[in-house]
Amino acid sequence: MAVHPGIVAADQAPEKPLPESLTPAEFNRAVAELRRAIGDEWVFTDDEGDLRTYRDVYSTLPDEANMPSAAVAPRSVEEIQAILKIARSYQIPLWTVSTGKNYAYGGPAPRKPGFFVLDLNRMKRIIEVNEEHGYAVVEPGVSYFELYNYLQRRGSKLWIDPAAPGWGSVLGNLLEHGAGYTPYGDHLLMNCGMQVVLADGTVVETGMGALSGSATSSLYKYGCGPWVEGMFTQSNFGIVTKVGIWLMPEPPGYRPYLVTFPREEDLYQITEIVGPLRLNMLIPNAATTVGLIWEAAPNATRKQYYRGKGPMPMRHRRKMAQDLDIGMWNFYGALYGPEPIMDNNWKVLEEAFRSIPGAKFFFEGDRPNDPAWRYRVKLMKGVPNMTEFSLMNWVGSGAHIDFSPRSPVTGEDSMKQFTLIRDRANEYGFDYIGEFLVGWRELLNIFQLIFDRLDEDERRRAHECFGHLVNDFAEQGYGEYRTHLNFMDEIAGTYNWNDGALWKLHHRLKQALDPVGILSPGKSGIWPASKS
Amino acid sequence: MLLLAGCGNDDTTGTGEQADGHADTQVTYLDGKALFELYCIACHGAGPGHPGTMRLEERMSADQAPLLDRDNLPPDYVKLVVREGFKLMPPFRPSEIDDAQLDLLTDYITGDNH
Ligand SMILES: Cc1cc2nc3c(=O)[nH]c(=O)nc-3n(C[C@H](O)[C@H](O)[C@H](O)COP(=O)(O)OP(=O)(O)OC[C@H]3O[C@@H](n4cnc5c(N)ncnc54)[C@H](O)[C@@H]3O)c2cc1C
Ligand code: HEC
Repeated sequence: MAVHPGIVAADQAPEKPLPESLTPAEFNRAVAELRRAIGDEWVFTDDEGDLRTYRDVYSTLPDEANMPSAAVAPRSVEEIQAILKIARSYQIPLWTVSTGKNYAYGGPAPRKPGFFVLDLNRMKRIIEVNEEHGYAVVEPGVSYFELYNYLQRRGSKLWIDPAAPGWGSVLGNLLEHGAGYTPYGDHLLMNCGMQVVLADGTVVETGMGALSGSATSSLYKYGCGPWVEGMFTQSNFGIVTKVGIWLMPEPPGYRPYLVTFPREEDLYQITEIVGPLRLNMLIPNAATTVGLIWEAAPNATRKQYYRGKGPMPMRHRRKMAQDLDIGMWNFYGALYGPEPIMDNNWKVLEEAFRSIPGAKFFFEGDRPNDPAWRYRVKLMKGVPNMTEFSLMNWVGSGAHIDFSPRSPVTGEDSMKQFTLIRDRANEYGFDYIGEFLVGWRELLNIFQLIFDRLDEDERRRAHECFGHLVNDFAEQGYGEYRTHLNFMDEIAGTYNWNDGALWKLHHRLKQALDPVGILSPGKSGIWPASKS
Repeated sequence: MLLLAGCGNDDTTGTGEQADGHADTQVTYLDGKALFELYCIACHGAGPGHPGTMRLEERMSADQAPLLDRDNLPPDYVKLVVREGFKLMPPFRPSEIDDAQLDLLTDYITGDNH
């Protein structure tokens, strides 16, 4: 079959890399055992066929840097236990994903070439939805779209809180400390109870679920004794096979709004205003200040406004802002609740935002055909969609990785974050495409480093630019909360207080829980003893 | 047709929903339309806000940009793109859309039945 010109070239390597622990003969034997354990059709080894679907197509490195040698897709905890037994006996590194849509941070691809992917997407049970108490219990493969459709069909009055890409999973996203845009946007905070399979095959229920016949496993988070859920997030200490997630009851009223601001420097004052409003929960959801290009991208592409190389000059950006009636910064928030409460809260918010000269206000009905406004309105009430992928149309052949540091919520910190990233991005020829979110007491900046993956030079520049940013930010005392596969060791290295005491603790836990070192080696810079 | 199968097995006849409001359902998609609506429409639907359609509008006439409006898509090409991805569209794994489902999906997209 002819390869379409738009498709990134196939892996040219004559022989695929295998895990270091396996000879080709052992690889074949292990694969045969896996096929017997879970069925032929759910073990993938064809690196010119099905296995290619596990590439990270948005990476700044070539495909080969993260190509697995096999993938296995079990359907149940029992099948996972059978796979673990084989993996332990052959010392196979198993990279766990759920829906595997972790694009911008690695997609379904493993940390190193040759690893096997343990793909849990076929585990799609919606185990429980509790309308009265407002929660669901789901398996790894349940996507936001699926849970949303399910609730809609049965007329539920519960909202979900999706990340911007609706195809991700409740479970995979919360394990990554992911976030959404309703008042339930801090996903790990809304998690209640987990089931985890350890490397030796032991199944553990956490929190109240540890009590046999528990009546509150999805109602009270902390159980009794140490609270362990966090240990299984962004880690490689176990395989999570079930999570409880709290769902927000539909409020009596919902009023989304957008405030646009004309100048780049306005970010300082926006942040000063938003910080206390968020802290006091007058803004109850992700308070999101979206940069010009991010806001423009669902409506426009770069070449409509600028055909030159390098960052788009201010003159062209101003023209675009004017045409699209958006700002250099665009603040999205929403009011939730009974009408009188929304009316009162809005008075406070409006007065605060009006203090910035040139602020313009938009409400429901003001931008009926603007896809940027429309997807924000959906996200802030928990309706999953994919519109944000329009950002990658900005340069036409888009891939991207995300740089996601956190700082205190002050005007000064916001400007420092913004200018550090903008200047570094511009130095490497990229536009600043970012947004700021106030989680609660901290300011998250998501910088989407969007590049053309078919352009070798651009891809290399993107990789270098990212590496520089990690150091730039560490010097300011700002850390990233999450990162792409190929920067996990670098970022772990910035968490180095007291001679890296925290990562030494992680490594001791790793050794205790997974002595053979089979689970996701290298996740978050945590390696088995044999490799660290 | 979208069926909710009983938990943990391939029995696609029951809904698995229990009267007390507890769910325990395995969602299984058995026809092309349901598959298209779950996996493709968010990017390939008609109108603004769909990144696939937005991009395809750059290379073809607006009335041909939504996938379901295309009259010249060879089935093998659809299958290739689904498994290979295409620039910002990442590939779909067989654990998401298996080969039998891909046949149903392709028939739906390239047929007249929508
Ligand atoms: C355009 C765009 C916008 C985005 N917007 C957002 C956003 O708004 N919010 C946000 O949070 N993210 C965002 N992302 C990042 C990412 O795409 C999402 O977080 C996505 O939900 C992660 O993929 P997933 O849910 O399929 O998780 P998976 O890929 O299944 O899992 C993610 C990681 O978690 C670990 N893991 C998964 N399952 C298990 C398990 N069962 N046991 C142990 N470890 C496991 C693995 O290390 C895995 O790599 C965005 C990305 C893009 C491209
Ligand atoms: C994340 C958004 C996204 C999703 C989800 C998505 N696509 Fe795409 N698709 C695109 C984009 C963007 C393009 C155009 C790529 C380009 O030309 O740069 C495309 C192109 C295609 C093409 C090629 C059209 C042509 O004329 O060359 C086909 C066929 C296709 N997609 C099928 C599908 C199917 C089937 C699904 C669901 C299983 C799907 N897509 C899901 C974004 C998506």
